Amino acid sequence: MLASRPRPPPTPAPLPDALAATRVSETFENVYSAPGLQVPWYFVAGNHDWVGDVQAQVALNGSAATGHRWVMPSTYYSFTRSAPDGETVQFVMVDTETLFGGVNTAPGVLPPLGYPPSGGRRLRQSSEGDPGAGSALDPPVPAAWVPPAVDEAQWAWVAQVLGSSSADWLVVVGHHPVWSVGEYGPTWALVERLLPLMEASGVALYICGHEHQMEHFRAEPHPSGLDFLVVGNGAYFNDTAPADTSHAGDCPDGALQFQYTEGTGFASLSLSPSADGAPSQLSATLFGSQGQQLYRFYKENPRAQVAGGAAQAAARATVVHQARDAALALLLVLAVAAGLTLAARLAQAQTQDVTRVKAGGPRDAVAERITVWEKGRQMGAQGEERRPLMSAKPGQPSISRVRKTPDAL
Amino acid sequence: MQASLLLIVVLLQASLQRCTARITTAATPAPPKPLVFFALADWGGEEVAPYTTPGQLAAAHAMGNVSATAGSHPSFVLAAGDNFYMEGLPGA
Repeated sequence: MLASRPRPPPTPAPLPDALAATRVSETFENVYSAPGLQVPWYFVAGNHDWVGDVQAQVALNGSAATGHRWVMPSTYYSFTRSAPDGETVQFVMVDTETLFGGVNTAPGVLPPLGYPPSGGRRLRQSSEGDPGAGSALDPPVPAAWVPPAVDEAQWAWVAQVLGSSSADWLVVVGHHPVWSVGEYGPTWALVERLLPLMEASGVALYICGHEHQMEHFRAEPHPSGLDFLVVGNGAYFNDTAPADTSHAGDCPDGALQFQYTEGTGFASLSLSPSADGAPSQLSATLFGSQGQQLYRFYKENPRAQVAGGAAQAAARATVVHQARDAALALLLVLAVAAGLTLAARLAQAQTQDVTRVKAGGPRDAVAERITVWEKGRQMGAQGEERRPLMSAKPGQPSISRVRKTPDAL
Repeated sequence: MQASLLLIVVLLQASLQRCTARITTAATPAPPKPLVFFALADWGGEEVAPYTTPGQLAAAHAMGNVSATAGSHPSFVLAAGDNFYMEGLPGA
């Protein structure tokens, strides 16, 4: 009897086809190859992804082809991270294309059910300005493509997740902007529906792309409000000069703090823990493609001022009190037992002056600490020293300090 | 008997004070270290070889450099869509 041939080792399921495998390696894996970038990457889809098969991207979740970096368990999801001091940040990853159906209609106008079957929309991409940059791309959308319907189930999910979050901080990530002064302007369905949900739950920051530039909006002067960050210059940039502000009139007056249109780049965000009574603080630093710092802003936590934040603080205090009560109950039992034993001995001795052992009353140090923490939080939130900072080098041509729009929204 | 009851109370007070002191000590925060993460969007290269753009490569290089500087190593990256230009990933 012949020896049976050895079985080939089990191979992981192949990617949908060779092109997809090439795109994953050449557009992602081989580009973001630096050691410091070998960390989880959390994805949502953009409008271009919806031209293809978004589920093929969901299927990349955890795949070896991405160095196990690709995190996209579904088209929308949420995850929570903890800062070293224990403060939690919940990231709510939304699929904006299906939140508004892919058709950006004017305020108050319902989107149509779909685009015209052919030639309804052409997706314009800017060319790169520097030598050897990518070519101008302007292919028509395939005639067979139909935009996704508005996903009411996702809207319900967003409302539920934001409304019931117990995290200290909330950050929402989606592809389309709420506010943008650029080529596409605000996404009106997000202004009308997502913005109120985010404001009500004390979301600190909405991060998006779509416009191939960087924009920072602060809709109110106080640093604790909801901020908006556009970082859509990951591969292309709108090399218009001067910067395209054609939709400035559609955005809240004075909200745009910063705009950068002259190169690609990315943002580095940092949540600094609370210390010495000062509240924790989120900062965002925008970098250009040469690694140069373009701009930085700071934020305090709006949830410290909305009901959710108060509830969170109360829950935290309750947990501390419960732990303390349990410890005290145990000690009480032990102390009574020890005391009774000792009392029996003392009764025998008959003479003992106990007053010299007298100690001061127990100070409720834990409660006091919480009070100090809360006070520090409030004081820090109202402090004047934490103002947004323009950290760009003076004279750097790539910074556009943006003019204010004449009309409020 | 009164003396022994008083002793119990005094011992109890001392224990409570120690206990709360210990809890306070344990809750003292460690030296602050921030949670760092990166964000980018519209990074998805292009649909013909080499499937990337010079602007994407430059920004990726900058990300690598920043991630290697002290205190700037990201714990994770947020990528806000347009992952594959121009038409996403092909389906099965």
